[in-house]
Amino acid sequence: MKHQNFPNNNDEILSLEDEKVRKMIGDLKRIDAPKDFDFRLKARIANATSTNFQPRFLPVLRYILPLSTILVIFVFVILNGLYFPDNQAVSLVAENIPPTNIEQKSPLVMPLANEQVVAKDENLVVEDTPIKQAVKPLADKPQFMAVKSPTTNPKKNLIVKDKKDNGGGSRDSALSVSPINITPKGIDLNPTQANPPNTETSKPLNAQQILSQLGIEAVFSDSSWKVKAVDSLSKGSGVKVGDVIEAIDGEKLTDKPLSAKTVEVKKLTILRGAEKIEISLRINK
Amino acid sequence: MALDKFENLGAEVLQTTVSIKTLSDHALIESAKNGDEAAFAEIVHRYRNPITNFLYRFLNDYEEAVDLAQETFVRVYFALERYHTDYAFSTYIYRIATNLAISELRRRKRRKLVSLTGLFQYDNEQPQDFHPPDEKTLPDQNLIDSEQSRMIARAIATLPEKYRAPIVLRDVEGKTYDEIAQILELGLGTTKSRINRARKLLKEKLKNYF
Repeated sequence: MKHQNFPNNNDEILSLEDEKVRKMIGDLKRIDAPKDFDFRLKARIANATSTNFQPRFLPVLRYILPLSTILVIFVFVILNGLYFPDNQAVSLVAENIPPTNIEQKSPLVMPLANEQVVAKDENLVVEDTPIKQAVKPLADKPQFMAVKSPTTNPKKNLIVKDKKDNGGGSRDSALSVSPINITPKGIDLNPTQANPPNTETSKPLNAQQILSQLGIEAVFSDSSWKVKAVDSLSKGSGVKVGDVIEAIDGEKLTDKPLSAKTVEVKKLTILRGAEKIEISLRINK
Repeated sequence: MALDKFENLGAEVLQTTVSIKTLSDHALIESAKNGDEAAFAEIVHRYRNPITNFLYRFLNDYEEAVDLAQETFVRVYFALERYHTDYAFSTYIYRIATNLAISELRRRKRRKLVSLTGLFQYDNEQPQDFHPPDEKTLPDQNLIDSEQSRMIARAIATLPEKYRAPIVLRDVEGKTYDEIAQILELGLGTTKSRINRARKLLKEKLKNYF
C-alpha cells in the first residue's frame, strides 16, 4: 500500500530521519474490520439494550434516596429534641428503678413516681385523679420514695394531672394513661394485696437485734452493751471484742427497743476503755 | 401493475441509499437520533475500518482492537442524544476510541502488576514482565509479512501511552495537529511536542532500519 499523502503534512518541516520515520509508519498496512463486524455490533447493541437498560431516573435516585434518608433521620432527631426535652428525665427514672423491683411494681409505678415529685413541689397541688386513687396505697412504699425524677422544671409534671389531654404530643401524658392498658398477666392490681411488708410499720427492734444484723454479738450487762464476738461482716468496721456500744446513730442503747424504726445504722458510738470512739458504717450493697 | 409498483419501490430504495451515502456525519447522526437505523449503519460503515486500524496500531492486538472498535460504536449509539455538533464527528468518535484504548492499556498495566512476574523472577535476574507470545493467526498476518512492518508495529506499541496516541493519529491516521489536539484534549503546542518526541523515540528504536 502506498504511503498516504496527508493534506496537512506539508505544514511541517522534518529532518530526513524524521521524515523517514513518518514514512515508515505511514507505509504500514491498513487493517480493516472483520466482515462480521456489523453483525457482531448489532448483537452487542441489542444485548446492551436488554441487559444494561437503566431508566434515566436511576442515577438521580442513587443520590436522592440516601440524602432523603439522612434528612429524615436528621429532622426526626431535631424534632425529638425540640418537643421531648424531658426524654432524659424519663430514662433516668427508669434506670433508677432497681431491677428486682420491676416485677413487684405494677405498670402504675411510672405515674406514681412523677406524682410524688409533683407533690413535693410546694407550688403544685396534685389532683386526686382516678389513676392516683388506684395507686394510692402504693405511695407509702419506700422504694418508690427513693425514685426521684431529675426533672428541673416542675411545670412539666403538671401534664400528669391533665387527664383530658389524650391527643398525643407529650410523653408524660402518654405514660399517665398507658400503664393501665399494659398490665401483664399474673399481676394482681388489687392495692390491698399489693402492699408489701413495710419497715416503717413493723415492730420496733431492740439493740441486740440491730447489732446482730450488723454482725456484732453483744450482751447487755451493767446497763451497757458489751461486744462478745464480731463476725467477718463487721471485722473491717473496727469494732472489737470488749468494746462497749453506747449509742447507735446518737441514740443511747438500753435494754428497751429503740425508738428508731429502721435498721439503717450509720454511726456507732463505742467506749473502748476510757476512749470514746465513733465508727461510721458503710453498707456495701 | 404489480411490476410497476416493484419498480417504483426499487427506485425509492435506491434513492434513499444514495441520499444516505451523501449525507454528512452530522446529518446522519440527526437521522439516527430519530430512529433511522440505516443512518447509524452508514456511520458504522464509514468509520469501522479507520477506528479498527487506529486501535490496532495503538494496542498491537487485533482482537482487542476489534472489540474496542465495537465498544466505541456501542458508546456512540447510546450517547446519540448527548452528542453535540460542536466538534466534527470524526473527532468525537476518535476521542471515544482513544479513551477506551488508554483505559485498556492501563488495565493491562494493572494486570501486569499482579501478574505472575514474581514467580518467574530469580535471585540474580532483573524482574521481567510476563509477555506470552500471541500465537494466534491474525487476519492481517498476510499483510504484516515483512519483518520491518512487525518491528515498526512493536516499536509503536512500546511507546509510552502519551506519545503513542498522537503519533498514531498523526502518522497512521493522518489527522491534523488541530484534530489531534481536540481528540486528545491537549494544547496545540503539547500535541506537536509529543509527536516530535514520539518520532525521536521511534528513531532510536528503529535505528537498525535506517
